[in-house]
Amino acid sequence: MKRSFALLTAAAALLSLEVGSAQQPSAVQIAANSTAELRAWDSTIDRMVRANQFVTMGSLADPDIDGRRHESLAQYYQGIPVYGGSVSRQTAQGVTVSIIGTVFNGISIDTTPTLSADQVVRALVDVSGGRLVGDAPSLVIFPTLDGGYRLAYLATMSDTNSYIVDAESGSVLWTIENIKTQSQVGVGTGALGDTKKISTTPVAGGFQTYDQLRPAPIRTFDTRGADATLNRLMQPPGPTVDSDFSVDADNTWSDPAVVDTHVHAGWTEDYFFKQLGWTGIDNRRGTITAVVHSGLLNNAFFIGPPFGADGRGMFVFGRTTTGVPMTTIDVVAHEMMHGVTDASLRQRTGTGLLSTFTIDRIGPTAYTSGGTTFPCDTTDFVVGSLRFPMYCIGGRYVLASNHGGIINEAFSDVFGIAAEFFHQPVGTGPLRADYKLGEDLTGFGPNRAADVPASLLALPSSLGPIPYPDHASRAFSFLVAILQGTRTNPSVLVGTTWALQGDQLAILPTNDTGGVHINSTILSHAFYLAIEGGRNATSGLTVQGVGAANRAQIEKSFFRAMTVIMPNLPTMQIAAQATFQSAVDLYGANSAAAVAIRQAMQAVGLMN
Amino acid sequence: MRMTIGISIVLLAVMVVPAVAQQRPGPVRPPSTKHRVFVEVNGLFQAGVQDFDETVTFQKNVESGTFSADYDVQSAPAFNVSGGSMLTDRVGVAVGVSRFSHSTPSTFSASVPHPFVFNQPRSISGNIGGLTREELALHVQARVMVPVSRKLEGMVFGGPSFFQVKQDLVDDFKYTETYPYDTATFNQGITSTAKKSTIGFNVGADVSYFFSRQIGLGGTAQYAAASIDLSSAGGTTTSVRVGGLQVGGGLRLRF
Repeated sequence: MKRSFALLTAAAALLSLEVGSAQQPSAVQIAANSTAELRAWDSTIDRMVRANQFVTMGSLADPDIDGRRHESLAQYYQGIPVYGGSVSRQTAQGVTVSIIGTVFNGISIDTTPTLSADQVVRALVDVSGGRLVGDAPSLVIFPTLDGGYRLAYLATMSDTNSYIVDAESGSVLWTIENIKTQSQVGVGTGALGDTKKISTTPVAGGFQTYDQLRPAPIRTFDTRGADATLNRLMQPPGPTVDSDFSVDADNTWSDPAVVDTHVHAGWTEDYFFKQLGWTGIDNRRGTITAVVHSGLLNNAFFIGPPFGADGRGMFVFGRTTTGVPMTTIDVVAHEMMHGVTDASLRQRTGTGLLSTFTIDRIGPTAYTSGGTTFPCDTTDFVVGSLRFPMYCIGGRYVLASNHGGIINEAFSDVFGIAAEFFHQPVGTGPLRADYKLGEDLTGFGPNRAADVPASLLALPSSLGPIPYPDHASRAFSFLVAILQGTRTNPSVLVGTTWALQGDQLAILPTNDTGGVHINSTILSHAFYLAIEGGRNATSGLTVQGVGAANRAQIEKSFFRAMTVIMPNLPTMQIAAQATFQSAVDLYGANSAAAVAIRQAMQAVGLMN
Repeated sequence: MRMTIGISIVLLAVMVVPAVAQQRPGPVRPPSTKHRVFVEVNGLFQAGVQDFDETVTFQKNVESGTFSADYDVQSAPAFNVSGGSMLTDRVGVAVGVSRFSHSTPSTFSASVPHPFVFNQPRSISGNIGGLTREELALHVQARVMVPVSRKLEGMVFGGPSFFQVKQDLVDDFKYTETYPYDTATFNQGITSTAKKSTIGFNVGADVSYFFSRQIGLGGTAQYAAASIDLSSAGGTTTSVRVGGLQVGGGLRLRF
């Protein structure tokens, strides 16, 4: 039944082409959906080619599929091209597999022009204020909007427009604007009063934060403080609406959160592309979505697919308690690197970098705090009225941390810093590149320092403020408790907020999801040492860095480690090895980059 | 410099022709006294035209950019027809029309602002061909005849010239750029034709040899020039010097 209907349809179209109707000419859109339709159109097109009603304009081999060819055909009427009449026919080993295009039927007009080409040019000089450029005006059959056809000239003038001019009356039937502009460049003022260019898209009544100038388009959405909007965007399928965009009437933007987010997302994409050869977040030109005015305090985050706008993930930026948008270049690049990590790991392994506690080591049987000894076998982790027995192996405490999360944060810090160096001059103070994270968040930053990690305090604790670690031996490692089950039969384990740093036990306000932020400085410090060189304060080992002029080598080595080599459940030691291997791959085992990375990883205690 | 040479040649012609005449013994009856109307048709070659340039500032990507077009005004053949009447034995008036069409290819360069960052313009350059200048000049001349012999006569002349100029000017340009837009490539100049009229002057000398009472051949050197401000469609004004030294020869008729 289907076959019969398809044949009938194709035959009707064919009949229409052959007989036509001068009164009701029309365009036939070809998109053959069945084999029968395809065959019918195939033979129709062949016959029209033989009748010189279609002319083969080109035939190209498919660059991706062996044996495939793409034939482009243009429709002609009595030797004159029909404007818009074209068909693309794809073949596989000579057999047609698709035909797509438009055929105009019912053409029946006199092809002798009343006006000469020169007369048309003279008329267009007056119309356009310019002069003819390119070839002399050529005749075309122009399908008009009322379904008719006009014999016309097509001419391109120096005002950059092409004109289709009625060959009988000389009136302009259609103007083709040859300059294609979607995005426009505006100007905006960031949180530090800095003026920068912002790529937007014109819409009715103004401009919206939609950057289409970059290969991976960037959308910046503004929740305007509405939780409902953030929730809608966050939860799959994350439908978006036009009003999600930030808008501005004259393309002169003054909202610093919007400006910094949108511009810095673009700059980060530029950095990824120019320095690392990576396009957008997923290296597949996927649309990037950032969200501002989210209501989030003192934070920013990335959420990967299937969450986020249109289910593609998104970056959400908050503000500090004093209202400073968390959108400096290093913060934005940090979040976007989370996106890259997620996308690249998913493409290679099917998952993102797994965030889970892994056992670091087996600790002591007991620890002492405030003069009291706490044996593992008899100690409970207390949360309010709830008590969770500590998890012990052989009566000894188990110490764990979240290496996947630590690596994720560390690499995001690395590329937050790297993007900052790419776009800002080196120095101290606002809008200057350094190895600190979030230092331009007035009244809030810096959050972490890759150059001297211990210069900043990670967390308050029962021991007092604890600085960020610069060495694996100073990594926070968390005692594990039994969430469900018993000491003898544990089923669900959980990391506590009790952590050992070295041999010191500290009670922390949070376990930082396994120390993902507070331990990240070990790897980011290695990044610093590999570039700048220097001595690790804990190990005392000295690193011969590649120098600031060669920072790209270290950046590429780290990036390749994450996007090409990293498994989805690594340890910090594996991440160190992957980074070293990456440098060896790129520059050789004895290269300055490989040597610097090996020395740096040794200096921070992640390689022997 | 070119103008100086041109004027020197004219002055030299003015000085040489009387000198030659003075070497001739005895009084010479000027042949033109019997022929009060004359017509000259000349093929000319115009040289010594001054090149010119224009620099345009434009707004692109919320920043100012500039482009410059250096026009090479090339020498070209021209055509001239003059006719007049002698008012006395030696003094006459004439009106001449000359037309030139020059090719004026342009060397183009531009500094195009970057779409993403301030103060990182892209430099592009190229050549723009197909540009022309057309000059139509009406020369009003007072002429003084310098008789040499019955068949050879000289003439010096000068007066105002009325120029009508059409000059193709670069209004804008197209370029191609691809992400990350750190470079751009010149693609095409967008031009318009500026039209304007102005008044200048002409001076020159002519030497004619007549084969018969009415027909002869002659050579002429004329310097006609004016300065004109041309406005492009893009709104910029460019000062252009038109005319130049024209040398040639052709048919001489007298009645």
